[in-house]
Amino acid sequence: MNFPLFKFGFFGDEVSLVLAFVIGIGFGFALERAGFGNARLLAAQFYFTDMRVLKVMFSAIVTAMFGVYFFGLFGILDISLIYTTDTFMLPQVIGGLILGIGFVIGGYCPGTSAVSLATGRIDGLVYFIGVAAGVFVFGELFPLIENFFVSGSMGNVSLPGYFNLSYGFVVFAVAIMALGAFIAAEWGEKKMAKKAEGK
Amino acid sequence: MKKPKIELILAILLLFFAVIALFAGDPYSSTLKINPMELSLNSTKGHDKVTPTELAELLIAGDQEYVLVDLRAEEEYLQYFIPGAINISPMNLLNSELMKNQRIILYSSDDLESGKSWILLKAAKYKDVRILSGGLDGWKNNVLYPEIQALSENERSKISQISFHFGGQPKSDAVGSQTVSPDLPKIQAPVNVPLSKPKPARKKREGC
Repeated sequence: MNFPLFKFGFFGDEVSLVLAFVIGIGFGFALERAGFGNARLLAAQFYFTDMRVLKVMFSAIVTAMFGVYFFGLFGILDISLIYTTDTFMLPQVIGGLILGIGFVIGGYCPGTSAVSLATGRIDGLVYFIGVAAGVFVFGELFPLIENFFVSGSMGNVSLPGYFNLSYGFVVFAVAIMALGAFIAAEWGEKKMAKKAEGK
Repeated sequence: MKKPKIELILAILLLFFAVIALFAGDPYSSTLKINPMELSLNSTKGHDKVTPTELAELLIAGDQEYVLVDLRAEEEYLQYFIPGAINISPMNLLNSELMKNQRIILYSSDDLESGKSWILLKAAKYKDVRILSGGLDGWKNNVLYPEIQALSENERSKISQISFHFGGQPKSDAVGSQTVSPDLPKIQAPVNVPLSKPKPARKKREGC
């Protein structure tokens, strides 16, 4: 079997949209079950009282990474056909900061706001409207910021390519980083719990 | 004794896969394997070739569903290439921008070089690869300067039109004395243009 199925023409645009819908629902369901529909839980991240976002995200990253890496290795998945975005260093750093500020202030990222909205939360609705408005304003102002938007293009780079490391080593390093993050998160949570008791 | 916690089991699994990955190598490149049955089935079913006339008709119809690849040296390519062809050296074939799901038509001077490259691409699991049968010589003899003496009237005019379309001239008995220039028609070499097919307007944005 050759994956990705869509790129190999096993199905067309229509089926791919249906599948995207099903996978999206599944993704949203998983996020909701992890508690990501609750802004308080998400914001707790930044106060180190509940690190579940970090744990869930790192688990997802590591699982997906192992899947893509090993399926690629066994020749089941053609990694070269997977779309990855080009790197524009400064614009993406700024974009990340804007998203992070929004996350701290509102307690949601775009995906979790949709999850929150689906569970009927008012703050999720407001946040979602904000996201839509932001997208609209961005689209309207795009001609003004287009030069910046495409500045500093580094092309399609990856960590192994850029630092001249082997793919296996990067997989190993990310896995170790995740393990470190899990341990640090548990430790931080315990520490903050003690602090809370002390008050 | 306490049962081991799920976190601990997952952490050990994580470490296990991480260490395997450290030594497992590059998921992009692996040794190529050839499936003899698949290759021979492709050949017997004729899924591995395009005749010069078929290619000419594809080109005239403006079919954009395939990539035409010229495997010859760059100097030869710049002298003449079949319209729309991009130049890729057989050495760089696997590292080129060709995608495994693209329809690829290979040609060289004759069938040998394109045949070798065909096997290489098929082994690397490129889905639809064909060679131009007869290579550029076949293109010259069948499209640019075809023999049309033995053909019926209909065929003759069709083949002639194809020939004229690509700047050639059919060899005809009507003007038997006429010497047909063996030179290839001049195709303007791309100047300062990267040797690749123009990218389709803009890549659809993917991702979240």
